[in-house]
Amino acid sequence: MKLVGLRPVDDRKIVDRVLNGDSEAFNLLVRQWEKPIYNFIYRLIGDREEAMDLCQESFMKAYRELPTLKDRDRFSAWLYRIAHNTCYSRLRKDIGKTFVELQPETKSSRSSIENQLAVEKALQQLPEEQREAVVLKVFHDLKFEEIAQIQGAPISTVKSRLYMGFEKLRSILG
Amino acid sequence: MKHLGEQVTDFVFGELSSTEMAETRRHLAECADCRQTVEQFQHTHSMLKASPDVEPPRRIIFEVEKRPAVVSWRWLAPVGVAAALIIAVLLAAPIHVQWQDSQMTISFGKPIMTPIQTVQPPAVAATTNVVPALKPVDYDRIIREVQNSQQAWLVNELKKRDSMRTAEVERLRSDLRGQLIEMATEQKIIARQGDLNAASIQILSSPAGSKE
Repeated sequence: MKLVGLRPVDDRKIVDRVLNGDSEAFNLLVRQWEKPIYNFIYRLIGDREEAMDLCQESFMKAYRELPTLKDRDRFSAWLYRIAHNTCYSRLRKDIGKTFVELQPETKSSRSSIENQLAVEKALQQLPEEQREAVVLKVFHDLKFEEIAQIQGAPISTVKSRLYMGFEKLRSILG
Repeated sequence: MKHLGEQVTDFVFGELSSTEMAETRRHLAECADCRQTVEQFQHTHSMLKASPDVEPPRRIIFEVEKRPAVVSWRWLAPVGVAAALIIAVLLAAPIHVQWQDSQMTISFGKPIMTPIQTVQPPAVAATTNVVPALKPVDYDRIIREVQNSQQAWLVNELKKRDSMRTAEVERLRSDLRGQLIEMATEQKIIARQGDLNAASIQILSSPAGSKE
């Protein structure tokens, strides 16, 4: 089904429709947000299949909890927050596991695929909060204030995480 | 201005105020260390941005479970009773019929001893299962309806604003009319005053003898 001709419909209008009984309209929100949310989760988790499962779980939670959404104009920030919570529940299960730190990549000319792999590996070497701050800022263009709400942290903390994340990435990627 | 430190991220992501941005640029023009830091951050930023988004391995589609049609078997009750009577007459055995919770139980031979276990109708699922869709989602209908409701909202808004504008214009017109009337009145007063002044001047300037 083509979405050509569909203007960027206000999320709010779709949320209103869903809450007024047109449950199928939720699929429009899914179509608009599944790729960004999937990529957000994938860059946090590092595994495609697991990211897909968590993405699905996030949308299911969003559907069930939609009546609790206080500000219908901030659906996307609320959805990111749900995805954040879903990921962190999963990440907490990894506490105690040992991760082998990969050697820093050398900077010599990389193809775009190699670059992509290098970036993915480098992101996985960051602590979760720094990784999340970098991902939300660089790949999702969120403001510091929005990231602070998603992470449940002060803006100054988010900026520190981003700064330290970038410093570490700079040392890994060159 | 001191070195940028963590403020480099605010600068790289354009989240400084215009004043702070100007100050930072002035500092960078003079400070090679901070310039180098900014360049390194921008380089890392570019490398990250060059890593594209990937497509999810599969689509997520919500299919809302519909209420199953409730089939009422109550109309069969009289037929069932009639059939039971016929059979009982043939068998010459006592028949026991029990109604409970819209369920009819017919017992032959001995009365019903055990409580009826009513079979609960299957619960209407209030939850949504994420299942592979058996039929395609009618996105066209959803899009049409959303666009129609947006259009209706826009038309309504335009009408509201038109009527507000008309009321505003009318108010301005009546204000102006009032002001024009005031100005015309003042002009008349000024003109009359002018005539009086002219008359006084004539009287004052006429020779003294003419008065007597």
